[in-house]
Amino acid sequence: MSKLLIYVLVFPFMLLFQNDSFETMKDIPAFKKGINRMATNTNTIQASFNQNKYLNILSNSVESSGTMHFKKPDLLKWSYTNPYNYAILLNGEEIKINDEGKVNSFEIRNSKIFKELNDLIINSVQGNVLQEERFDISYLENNKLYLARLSPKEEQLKSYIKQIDVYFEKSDYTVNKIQLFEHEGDYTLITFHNKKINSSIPDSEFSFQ
Amino acid sequence: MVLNKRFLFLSILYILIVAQASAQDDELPKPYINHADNGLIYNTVFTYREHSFSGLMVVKKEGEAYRVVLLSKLGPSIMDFLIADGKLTWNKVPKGMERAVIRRIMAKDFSIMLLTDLQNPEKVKEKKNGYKIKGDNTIKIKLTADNKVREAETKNNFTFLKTYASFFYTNSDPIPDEICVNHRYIKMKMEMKLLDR
Repeated sequence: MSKLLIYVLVFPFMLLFQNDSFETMKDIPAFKKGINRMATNTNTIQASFNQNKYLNILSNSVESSGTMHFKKPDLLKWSYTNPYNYAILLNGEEIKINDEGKVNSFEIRNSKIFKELNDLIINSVQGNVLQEERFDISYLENNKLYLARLSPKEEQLKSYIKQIDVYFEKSDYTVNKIQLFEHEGDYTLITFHNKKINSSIPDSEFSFQ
Repeated sequence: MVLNKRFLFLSILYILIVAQASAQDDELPKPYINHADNGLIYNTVFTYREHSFSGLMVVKKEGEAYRVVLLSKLGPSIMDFLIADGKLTWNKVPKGMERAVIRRIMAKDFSIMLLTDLQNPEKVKEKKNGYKIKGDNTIKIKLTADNKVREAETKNNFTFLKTYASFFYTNSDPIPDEICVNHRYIKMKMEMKLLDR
């Protein structure tokens, strides 16, 4: 009787953990096909995001939030609106940073690290990150999400980032969250909300007026 | 009778000295980070000539040392170090910043910014409108009316890089809401605004 009681009490939790825990992806080609289809059919993405930075020296995470706009082929604006105003604009040729109204520009081609950053962000939000040759990629899934786990191959990137987890919705293959792990056990979690795919975004959105 | 008078005089003198010493110890402000067990987060802008860069600076006391982590606003940390006894030890250093001269400049700037030398009362001498702290870098500090540090400045004669820091408060809290670290002769500045504690 007691065994049955334990089973009845514990089983729902076991089921819950089983559903949330990730295991090796069963059909990787089908996942890649779904991602390619999503990337091909997506011309614009806009979303809000929450960013939580977990540092082992702090008991609470460092929180920030904002909005993200993407327009094919390579326009991206990443705007933090809380607790500060800070925006990064990528247009394929240069990176512009608006820091509380002060704008700085950098040519992407002049900096390898900016080029890598540009490609990584654009490819992550668009789902093309799976074609990156700079990473070893492993594929996982649970009942709600696909997970592409990227480990950098290049030493320079590896010195900053240990691993990048990109989570995709199973329902529509859009990016649900991105988790960047550092070597010290610290990590950054960016979670996307209110995603709008293929809504009209004027080019003026990708400039600092 | 003479012995009694001498004993009384010495006793009063001793009491006065102890009282003076403890009064000075009470008045000496502590490093502000001592009031923030969970650490502090400052939105920070670094400016060198026409270049500027901003990030989040996390500062926390770890034992007798002071930990500083600079984060990019996109999340990943850029640099991470400890300051103890005026010396800087890297946990994570960006490429090109490993040079000893940079480490010494940063140790000086961050020691002033964190007011680490206030941790050692034996180094501190009371002066008009503030205190003078003796050490590798002699520092002069000025106080607000409610005994918080308003300014800190290196006073060494034989150095090109003179650092001065200003501390701004919006209320009675001992944690500065804004800090500005600047240099004489070099256009290098660090401006910090308190985000969280």
